[in-house]
Amino acid sequence: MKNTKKVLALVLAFIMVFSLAACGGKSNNQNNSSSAEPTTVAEKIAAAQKMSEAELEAAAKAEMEAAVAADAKTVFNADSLTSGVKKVAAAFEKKYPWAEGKIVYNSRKGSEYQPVLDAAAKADQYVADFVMIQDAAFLKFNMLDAGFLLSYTPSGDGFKFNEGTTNPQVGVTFNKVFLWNNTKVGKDQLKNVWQLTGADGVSLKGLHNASVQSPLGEDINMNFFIMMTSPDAVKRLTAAYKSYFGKDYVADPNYKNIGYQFLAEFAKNIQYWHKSDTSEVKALVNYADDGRIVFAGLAKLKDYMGLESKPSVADLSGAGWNADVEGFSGFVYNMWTLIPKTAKLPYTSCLFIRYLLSEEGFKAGWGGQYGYYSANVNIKPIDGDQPLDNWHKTCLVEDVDYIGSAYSDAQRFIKQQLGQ
Amino acid sequence: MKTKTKSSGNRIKAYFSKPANVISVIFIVILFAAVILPLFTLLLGSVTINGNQEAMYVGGGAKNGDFTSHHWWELLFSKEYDYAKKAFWQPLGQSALMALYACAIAVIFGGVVAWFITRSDLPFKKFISTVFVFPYIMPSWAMAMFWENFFKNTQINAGMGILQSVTGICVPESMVYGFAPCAWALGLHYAPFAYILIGGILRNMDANLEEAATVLKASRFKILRKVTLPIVMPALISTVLLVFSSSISSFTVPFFLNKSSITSGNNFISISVQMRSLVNSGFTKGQGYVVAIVLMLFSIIILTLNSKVTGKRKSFTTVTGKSGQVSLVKLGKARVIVAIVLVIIVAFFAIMPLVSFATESLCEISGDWSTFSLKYWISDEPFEGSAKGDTIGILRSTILWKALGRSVLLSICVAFAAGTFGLLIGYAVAKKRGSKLAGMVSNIAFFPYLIPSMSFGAVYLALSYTKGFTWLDGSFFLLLMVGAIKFMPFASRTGTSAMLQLSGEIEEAAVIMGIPWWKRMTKVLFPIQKSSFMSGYLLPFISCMREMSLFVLLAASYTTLVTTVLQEYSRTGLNQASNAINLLIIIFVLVIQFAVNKLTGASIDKGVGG
Repeated sequence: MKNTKKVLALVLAFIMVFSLAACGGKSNNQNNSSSAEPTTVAEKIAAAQKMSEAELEAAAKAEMEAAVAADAKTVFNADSLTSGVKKVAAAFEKKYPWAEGKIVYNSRKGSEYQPVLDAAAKADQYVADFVMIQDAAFLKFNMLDAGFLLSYTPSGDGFKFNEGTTNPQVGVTFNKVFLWNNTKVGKDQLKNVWQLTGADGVSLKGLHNASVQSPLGEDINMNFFIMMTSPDAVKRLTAAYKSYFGKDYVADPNYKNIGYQFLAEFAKNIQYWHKSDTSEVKALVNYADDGRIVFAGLAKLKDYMGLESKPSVADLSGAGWNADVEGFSGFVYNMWTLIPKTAKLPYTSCLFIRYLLSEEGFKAGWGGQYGYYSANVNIKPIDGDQPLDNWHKTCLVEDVDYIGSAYSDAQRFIKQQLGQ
Repeated sequence: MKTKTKSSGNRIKAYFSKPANVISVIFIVILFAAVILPLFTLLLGSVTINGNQEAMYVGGGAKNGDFTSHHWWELLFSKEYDYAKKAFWQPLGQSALMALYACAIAVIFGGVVAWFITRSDLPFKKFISTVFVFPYIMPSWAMAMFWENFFKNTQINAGMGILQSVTGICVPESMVYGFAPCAWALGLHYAPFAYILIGGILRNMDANLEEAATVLKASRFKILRKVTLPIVMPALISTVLLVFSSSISSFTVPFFLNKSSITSGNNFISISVQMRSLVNSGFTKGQGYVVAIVLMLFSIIILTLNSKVTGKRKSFTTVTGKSGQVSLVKLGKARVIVAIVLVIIVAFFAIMPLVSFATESLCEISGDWSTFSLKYWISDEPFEGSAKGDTIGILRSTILWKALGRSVLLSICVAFAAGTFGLLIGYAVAKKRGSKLAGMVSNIAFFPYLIPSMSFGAVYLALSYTKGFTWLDGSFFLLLMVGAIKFMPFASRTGTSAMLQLSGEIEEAAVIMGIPWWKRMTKVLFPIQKSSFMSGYLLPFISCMREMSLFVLLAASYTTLVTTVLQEYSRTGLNQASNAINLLIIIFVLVIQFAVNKLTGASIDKGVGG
């Protein structure tokens, strides 16, 4: 009897505790659902999405002031590979004086930054308030699928984005093209991409002076090489083949498609494996005699233009830029602007992205330079450069889904070619 | 029962009454925690799916975190597109051969110079000894860059190099790019290392041994073979081990000197370049870890051989306290000729790269003096592409000076920690030579050297994001800890070599006099082998000052250390400024070395006897 009483008391006590806990939980949930205040970073981004610029600024300012009051050392960390973000940060501080001295730019190289993001994502820890990264596959498979990086797209009169450039939000688009010093070899040295295999065409000669950064040391070039095997490249290469050799392409059983064949012949014909696009573009001034064709970012022209004594930029030719090339002119790839779900200042992150994608912000970071294209299509490239839509038509465009599915096979093939 | 407990208690007490045992136990615990963790992570990474990207690559429904043998199988055996052969076996074989050539060059060049400096009456010793260590102070790619700048020529469409512009000679492409230049650049870079280790031993070697052999009418060659070589063998093997491990995993030199086309026959893709490519891609991280493990296995084999040699040898003690006399071999008429040849060679490989750093920092376009500019040194205007005024002339940049200050502080702390750890480990290993514990401590202390810097840094990065350890994130202590462990192998090898030379009688005499252990260390053992021990401090200092890969993931920002600033300048295309910083680092290290020399009378070159 005594034992039965004890058991009964225990059961009752357990039920009471359980009920209280359940009530507490319900009460919390009710509080959350009735509250209009977003609490998580995702909720704050969703709220920011509906705000006007003034409202967003007010929210960001209040957020920053509260954070600084709680911890005077609080800063807004902006992590990126491109130094353009540093300039945007400086201009942002000027525009929003309450943020002055609080925006810290951290230069982060992709392959060195990925372990940092991975570690932060695994531990669900703070890493930065704003992240701008380049590796599409890493972004898609490791960050977005894991829900660690979140996207904010500004809206309003000044903003217009093409389909496929939001969520995840593209910040800036870049291109890599074939550049050469045209003073002796002429503007039209390269007219068909098959010339780069070294084989002579019907009316054009094969070229043996391409300089490329090894895809083993440069991820973007690895993606470019992989994209050469894509259906889009196959279409382009087949048409260019007919034009160059004057006959239809007949499939070679040694290759999976024309892209693989082109890749193999192109790789074998590369005469120089340069180590730095920047140095090689600067050195174009010395390559008048052999007209070396340097595959590098069009944006690197800023380094060429930065030289104190240089021939005119008109002495340079670039595939798709001021010289037409059949096949493809180069490679187009993106940098995305994102917010970690552990960000401490999410409203400021949204305001920062909004500013970066505005005309004023873009000009502060990348204005007046070739080879930088804002995802905001209202912002035009500088005079003399092509609109992004044109580049999309003339270049191979990074396709993360294709790269993901083809990587295994294509990188084996590429390593086989490079290892010969 | 009680007696048994008491006796085992006494045994433990007796065991721990010996400092060598205490040191061994403490270090085995520290090293297990600090070294086994990254090692285990590396091994685990090679048999699991590392992220969603890799899961997609592996296919077959694999998920992040799943166990898999795919990475090993694919890299070692896959025949599709000759993948295993092209991506692994071929680069591995070529890289191993390149590392062996580099070892031979380093040991022969460094060893010969060390012998001339320590055992002969060669003139200009001071100059040769001082200048010879310069290439080791420079980053390894500096030698590669100099090699290219010197030998490149217009016949191979690489632009005019120094040799062609001075003599008109155009060397073949295989002398400019590819396998052989890589081996030479690495060998020349590590020759000072061989010089330091071998020279330290030669300098302290009892001259009576060689003199006794001479009295017994042994030929010079026989003396070298039967007396000198066996004595320097531990240092020789340590050198081979360190140079081989460094060379086979060197990324920058093969990356820099592989500009040849595939069809030229001089296209050389090293295993380290393959490893970097695999690790950097989210699709193939696991395969990159496999390469790292295989590279470690290579070094473990040499390490085992090393242990066998040092474990077997019975009485190569050369510092007995009985003779400090060194008799120098008289070179006779060859004295001046040898000196001139050595001065020219040493000056060429040590000073010319510095000159090329200086010229690169002064020209907008490499080698084009019409683009001469001092702006990367003294301009107070921001360079093109910079903001916030931080990329101004390096002599005016407060960011750079602060970073340099932090680097110096870090290097001093790392050198102190690593050097002291190395000295203590050396003591424990020498005292307990032949015991399993000593062997284990010695071997594990070497492991950090074998783990690629980036992987090592990545493990500690993950640790700093783990709950309970977040205080480490971006902290100076994290950099210090990682640096001390990573550079401990230099100090432990030097410490062990030096301690093995010391006769037990010296310490025994002090023990009989009742001198406590710490006093024996600081007043007896350290002063006798000061030059070798100081090398154990200076080597981590130099390495830490120019280290980049290890700290790049762990530094709070790019402004933290001078090398991260350098990398940022290089990344943003400011090569002139990065060359200027390189020169600044080298000059700074030389100044420190000079200061150490003035204050303590010891330095790397002095240690060898210059």
